[in-house]
Amino acid sequence: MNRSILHELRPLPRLAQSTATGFTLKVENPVEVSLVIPAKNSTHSLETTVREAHAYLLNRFSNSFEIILVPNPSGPDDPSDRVAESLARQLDQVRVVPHEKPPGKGAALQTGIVKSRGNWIFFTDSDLPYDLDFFDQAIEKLRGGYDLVTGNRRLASSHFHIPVSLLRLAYGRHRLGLGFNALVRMLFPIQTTDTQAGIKAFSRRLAVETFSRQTCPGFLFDLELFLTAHGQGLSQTDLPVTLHLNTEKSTVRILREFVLVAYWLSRIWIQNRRGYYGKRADAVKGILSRYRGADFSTRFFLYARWKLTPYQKMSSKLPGRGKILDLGCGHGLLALTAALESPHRQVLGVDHDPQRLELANRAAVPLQNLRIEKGSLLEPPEGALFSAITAIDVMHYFTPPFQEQILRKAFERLEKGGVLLVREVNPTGGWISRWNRTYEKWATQIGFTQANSQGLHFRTPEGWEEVLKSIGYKVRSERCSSFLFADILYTCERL
Amino acid sequence: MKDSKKLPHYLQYGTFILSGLLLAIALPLYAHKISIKTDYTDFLVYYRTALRVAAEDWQNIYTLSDGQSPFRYLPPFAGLFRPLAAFDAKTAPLFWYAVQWLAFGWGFFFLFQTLRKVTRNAFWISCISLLFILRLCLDTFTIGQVSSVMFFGFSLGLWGYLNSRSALAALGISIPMLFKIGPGIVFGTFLSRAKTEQHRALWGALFTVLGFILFGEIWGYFALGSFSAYHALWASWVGIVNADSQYYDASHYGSQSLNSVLLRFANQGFFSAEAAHHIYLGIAGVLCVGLFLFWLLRSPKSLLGRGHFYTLALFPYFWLMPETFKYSLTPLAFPVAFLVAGLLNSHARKGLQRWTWFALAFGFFTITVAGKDLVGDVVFFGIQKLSLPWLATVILGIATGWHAWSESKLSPFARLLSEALLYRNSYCLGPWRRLPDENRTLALSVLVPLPLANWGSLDPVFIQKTVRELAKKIRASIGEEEFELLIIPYGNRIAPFTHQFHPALNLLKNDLQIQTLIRFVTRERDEKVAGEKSTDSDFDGRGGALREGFLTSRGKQFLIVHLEQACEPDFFPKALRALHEGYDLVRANRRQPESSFEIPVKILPLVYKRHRLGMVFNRLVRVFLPIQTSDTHSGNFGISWRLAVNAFSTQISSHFLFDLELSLAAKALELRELDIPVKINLEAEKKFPRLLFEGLTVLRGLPILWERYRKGCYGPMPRPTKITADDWGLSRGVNFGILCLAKKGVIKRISIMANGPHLQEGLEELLGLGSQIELGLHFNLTYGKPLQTTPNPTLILENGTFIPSPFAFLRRWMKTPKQVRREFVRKEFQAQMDVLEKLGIPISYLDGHHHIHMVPGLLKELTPELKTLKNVRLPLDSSLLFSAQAPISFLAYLARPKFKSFGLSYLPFVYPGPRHFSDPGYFRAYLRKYENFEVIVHPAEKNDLAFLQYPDAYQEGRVTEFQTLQMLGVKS
Repeated sequence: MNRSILHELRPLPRLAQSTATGFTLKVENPVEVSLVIPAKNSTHSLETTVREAHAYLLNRFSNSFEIILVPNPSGPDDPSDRVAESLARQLDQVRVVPHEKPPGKGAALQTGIVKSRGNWIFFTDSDLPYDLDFFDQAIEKLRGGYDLVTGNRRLASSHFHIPVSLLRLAYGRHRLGLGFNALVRMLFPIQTTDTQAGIKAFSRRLAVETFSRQTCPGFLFDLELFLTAHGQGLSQTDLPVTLHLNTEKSTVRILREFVLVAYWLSRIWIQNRRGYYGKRADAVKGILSRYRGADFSTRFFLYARWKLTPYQKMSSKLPGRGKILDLGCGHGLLALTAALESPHRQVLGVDHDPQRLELANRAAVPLQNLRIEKGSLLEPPEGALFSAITAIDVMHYFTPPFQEQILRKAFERLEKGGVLLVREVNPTGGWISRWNRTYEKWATQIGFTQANSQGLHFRTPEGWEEVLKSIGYKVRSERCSSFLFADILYTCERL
Repeated sequence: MKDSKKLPHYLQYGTFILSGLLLAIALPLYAHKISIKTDYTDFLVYYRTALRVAAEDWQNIYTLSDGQSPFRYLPPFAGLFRPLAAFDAKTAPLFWYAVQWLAFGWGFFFLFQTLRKVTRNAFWISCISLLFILRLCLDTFTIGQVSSVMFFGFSLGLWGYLNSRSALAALGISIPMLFKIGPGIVFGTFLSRAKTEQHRALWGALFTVLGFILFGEIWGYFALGSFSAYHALWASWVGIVNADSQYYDASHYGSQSLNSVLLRFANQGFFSAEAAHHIYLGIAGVLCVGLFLFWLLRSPKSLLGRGHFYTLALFPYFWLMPETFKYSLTPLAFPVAFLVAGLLNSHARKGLQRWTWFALAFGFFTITVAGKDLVGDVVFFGIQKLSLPWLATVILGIATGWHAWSESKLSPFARLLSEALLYRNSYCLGPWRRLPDENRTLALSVLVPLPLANWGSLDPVFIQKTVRELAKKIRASIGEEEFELLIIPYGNRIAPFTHQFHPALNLLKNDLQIQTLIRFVTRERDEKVAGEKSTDSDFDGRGGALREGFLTSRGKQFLIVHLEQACEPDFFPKALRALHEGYDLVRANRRQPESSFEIPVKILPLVYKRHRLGMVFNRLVRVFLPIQTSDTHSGNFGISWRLAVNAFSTQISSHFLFDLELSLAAKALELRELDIPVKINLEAEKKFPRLLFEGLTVLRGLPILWERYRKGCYGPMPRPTKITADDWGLSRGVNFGILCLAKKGVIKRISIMANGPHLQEGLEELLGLGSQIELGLHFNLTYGKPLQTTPNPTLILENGTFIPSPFAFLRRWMKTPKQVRREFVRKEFQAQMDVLEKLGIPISYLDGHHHIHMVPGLLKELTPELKTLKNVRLPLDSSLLFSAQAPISFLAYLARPKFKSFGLSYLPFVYPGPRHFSDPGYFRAYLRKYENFEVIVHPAEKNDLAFLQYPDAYQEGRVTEFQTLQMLGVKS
C-alpha cells in the first residue's frame, strides 16, 4: 500500500462554524449562487466548462453569482492552477481557491465551499459531462423548499450520449453503480438510486451542516451530504440528467478503490449509527404515544397502520420547507410525521370526521407548525399556494368524476414545481390487490375508516397516470407499502 | 362451438335408461356388496393406516410387513386419512364409499359445466362418458381406490383450463399429482396458453403443493410431538418407495401400461427385461417431447380444441406410469366426453369420425363391458393379459390427438419459427413484378420503410418529427434539385395502424411539398392455405419494403433510412457528398470509434448487449462472407443507382438479411464503399420475439447467402447472346412478351409455331427488328391442328387435332408403318414451312415443340428438306438427367452421332427450370456460366393461355420467366 492511500484514509477534522473562517449561514456580501468546480488534470476542458458555465449563470443571475475554482494539481505537469488563474483574471465572477492537501475530491470541494458566499451552492465536475439545464430545474426545486437536489443517472428519463468505444465501460459502470447504490440503500437511510453523480445543487443551510461535519476527503463525501440532509430533517430530491461521456476512467486500481470504499463505507456507517449526522428517526420517535387518550381499538389500528405504512418514505418526498396540505389526514399520522421531521414545514391537515380531528388535534398539541382543520377535499383551504399536497389512501372513496375534480383543485392550489402525493391501491396486482380491496371494504364496513356511502372506486396505475397527466402533472409512480399491500405512490409534479 | 349436431335419439334414450338403471339399481347394489365384502381391498390399507395413526403407532405406518400392499402415499395423507379411524370396520367402508361418490359427483358436475360451454349436448355427453367408465367406477368403489379423488382433481383442472381460471386448474391438477407423480405431465398443456395463464398456473400449483406440505408439517408437529419425528416418517416413506419398486411385478394382469406390455413381451422371450426397460424409457422420452412440442407449436382454434388439448395430456399418465391399473382409467371419462363432442362437431372430417367411432366402440367393449361378472374369468383375464384395455387407451389417445390437431392451428411461436426458417417465406423474393422507371427524373429518392407490426410500431409523432428534420437537412444540402421521399409501410399490422399514420403523413406531405408514396399491402398469413402460392412474397419485411420503394422510385441516387435506429440527420448530407464523389455504398457505421449513442438510461443494458451481439455477428459475417465492414446492419445507407439496380435485382431476402446482400452486391461488383461514423438516437429496443426471429433468420440465411455469393449470384449483369424464346404464336401474351424482350435485346433467337393460333399477332413488329433477331421453325406435331390438308389419321386424334402429349405421340409413332409416318411428317413440315414463307419469315434454324424433332427416326425422314436448313437444336443438357425432362436428354444423347452423320450443326444447349427463374440472382449466375449456350426460355407477358382453344399446360411459369428475363434488360 503506497503512502497516498494513507492520506486518503485519514478523516478530515471537524470544522467550526465561525465568522473567522466565514463559513456560516449568514455571510457578508452574499450572492445568489456559488458554483464550485474542483479541477484536477483538466486544462482544455476546464476552460470550456468555466466559460460555458459563466455564460449560463450570467444569463440567469446577472451579477449575483460566483464561480469558485478549486485547482488541486496532481503534480508539476498539471497546469490546472495556471489555467484557473488565467480564467479568474479574464472573468469577473471567477475566483480561485487553491487546495493543497489532503488529496481527494471531497477535501477540495470542502475548501471551495468554505469560501463560498452563495445562498445556493452548485457543484459540477470540471469536464462537464452533464447538461447545465439541470440547474434550471434544480433552482425551481430549491425554491420550492428542497435542500438537496441531485442528478440521477438512473432515472428512466435520464439520457446518455456515449461514444461507441465507451459503451462497454459505460455499461459496466452502470451495473457497478446500481450494485453500489443497492448496497448504499441497504446500509443507510438513503432512498435515491444514484448518490455519486457529479452534479448537485444544495442550500447554504445543508452546505454548512454537511461540510462542517465532513470526514471523508475522497469520493464518498456524497454519502455524507445525503446523510446530513436526512439526519437534519432537510429534504432531498433527484432529477434526471443528460450525460455526455467523453472519457472514462479506464484504469481503475481495483484493490486501492476497494480498500477505500470498504473503509469509508464502514466508517460512515458507524458515524451514521452514532448519530453523527443527526437522527431523523428521533424526530418521529414516540409518535404513537401522542394518541394515548384514544380507545384501545383505535390505538391498535394506529399501531398497525404506523407499522405497515412507510410514512417516512412518503414524508421524504415532500419539500423540506413551505406550506404542506394533507387532504383526508384522518388521525394525522402523515401530517405529524411531516411536521415533526422538519420545523421549516407548515403542515395543514384536513379531514371531515370530527372524532378523528379531535384526536389529531390532541396529538399535535405542542407543535407550532401543524394545524388540523375540518374541511372537504373538494374545497381545499384558500390562501397562499401550497408547495405540496398529499392525498393518501383517500381517493377511492370518491366517484371518478369527483376524483378528477379533487386532483384539479389540488393543481390549482399548488405552486409551480409543487408536489402532489397520491397513494392508492393497485387493483391489478394479483391476489394482494384482491385482498387489499376486500380489506378496504371490511375496514369501511366495520368503521375503521369512514367514508360517505358512495362505495369504493379503484383505478389501475395506468388509469391514475393517465388522469394525472391529463390534468398537467408530471407523474412518477412506485410501489409504496409493506409486502401485505399493493399500494402505489404517485409523485406528481405541477409543471 | 354451438354448431354441433344433436345427439341421435336412440343414444339419448339409451343413455337416459342406462343412467337411470345405474342410479336406481347399481348404486345400492354395490353399497350392499361393500358392506358384505371382507377380503382385501385398497381401502383396507387406508383404514389400517388410519387406525395406526389413531393409535400413534408411527413405526408401522410405512412397513414392508404389510406385504404386497403397504401404504405408499406421502406422510401428510396419513393425517388426511385419520378421520376414518373414527368409524368401526363395518361402517368405515360405507363412509369411504360416500366420500368417493361425492368426489365422483363433483367431478361429473365440473365435467358437465365444462361441456356446457362447448356443446348443446352437455348432459347426454356427460351421461355417455359416465356409462363408458361405469364398470371402472363400480370396480373402483369395490376395491376402494383413491382414483375418485384424483378424478375430481382432473375434472376441476379441466374446468379451470377451459374457463381460463388457471390458478384453480393448477390446484385441481395438483391433487392427482400429489397422489401419483405421473399426472404432473398435465401441466404441460399450459404450454399452449398465454404467459399470464402460465404464471397463474405456476402460482396455483406452488400454492397447493406448499399448502399441502405446510399442512403436513403442522399436523405432524401436533400429532407426532416434534418435527424430527414427523420427518422420520418422511424418511421411512422414502424407504418404502425404494423397497417397493424392487419387488413389484408390473407385468401382472391388472397393470395396463406401456411398461407392463413390454414386460409381458419380455416374459414371452421376445427380448430381455433390461431391453424392455430401455425401450420403455425411449418411447416415454420421445412421447413426452413430442407432446410438449405439440402443445408449444399448436394453439387450439376453439374451446372444443382446448378441451382436446387438455384431455390429450391424460394419456401419457395412462401409458407411461410404470404401473397403471385398469381401475385407474376412470379419467378416460374426459377424453371420451370430448371425443363424443368432437363427433357431433359438424366440421369433423369423415376419416376422423370413423376412427373416433371405432375408438369409442373398441374402448367400450374392451374396458367397460369386459368385467369379470359379465364375461367370466377366462375371457376377462385373457383380455387383461393381452393388454387390450391398454390398446384401447392407445386408440382413444390417437383419436384425441387427431381431434386436437384438427381443432388447432399453428401457434404464434410456430409461425415465428416457420417464417424465420422456411426458405419459401423469407428467402425467395422472386423476380420484380414490374420494372423501375428508367427515366430517372429526380436527383434523389429517400426510402423510408415504416414498420407496422405486432413486434413494434413507431409513434406517428416521432416519425413526423424525424422525417421532417431529415427532409429539411436534405433540402438544405441538395439545393434546388428535386427529390422524393417514399414511406413504405410493411409488417402484419398495416391495416390496423393505417388510420394512425394517414393524418401524420398527410401533414408531412403538405408541410414538405414532396411526393410521398404510401402503399398499404395487407397480409394474412393465418388464412394462407398450405401449398398455395404466397401472394405477398415481394412485400414482406424491411427488405421487401425497400425493394417496393426502389421499384416505385424515380431518383438517381438513394438514401435508405432506418426509423427504428434513427441516426443524426447529419449523416445523410455526408452520404450524399460521398455518393457524388463516386462512392457506391455509404454505410452508417455504429461501431467506428467516433460513433456514439444517445439513449435513455433504461435501455442501456439492452443497447450494450445488442452491441456485443452485433460485434459477434459481424465477426461471423467477416469470417464467412467477403465483407470487411464492422457494421452491416445500421440500416442507414446511401447507395448509387448502379448498386441499387444490381442489389435489388439479385436480392432474395425480404427481411433482415437484405442489408448483407447490399454489401455482398457491392463487393461482387467491386464498387467503392465507405463507412461513416454516426450518432444514433434510440428510444426503445427491439423486443425479444423479434430478436429471436432475426437470430433464426440469420442462422438459416447466412449459409444461403454464402452459397449464393460463391455461385456468383451477386456478380455483374451477364450479356448472353443466344437466349432462344420458344412458342411464338401460341397466344397474345406469349407473342408480346417475346417481342418486348427482343426489343430490349435480351432475346436473340425466336422459334415460331407455324400453326400457332396467334401467329400473326405482332409479327410485323418482330420482322421490323431485322437481322438482330434469328428466327427458326418451332416444328410442331403436338399442339393444335395440323396444317397439311389430309393428314393420315393414325398420328392424330379423332377430332382432327395433334396428339397433345409427346410421349403418346412417340408410342403412336413407333407403331405406325414407316411409309405412313414419313409421308405424314414430310407433308406437315412442308405445310408449316410454306405458311412461314408466305408470311415472309426468314427461317434459319429448326427445333421442335416439346422437342418433337428428337423422336427417333423423325429427323431422318426430313433429310431431303433439311438440305437448306442445317441448324438444328440438340437439347442435350446434362443437368436435366435428374429431372422430369430426362427422356429428352437421353434421346438427345442418342441422336448426337446421327446429327453429325446428317451434317447438322447445333449449339451447346441449356434448359433453365423454375428454380432458375424464381431467383433472378441465381439466373444471372447461370447465364454468366453459359454465356454462349443456347438458353431456351418460354416467356409470356401475361397469362392468357387458359383462354386458348387448346390450352397449354405451362402457364404461370411463363410470366415468371418473362419477369426474370425482363430484369436483364435494365441498364445500370
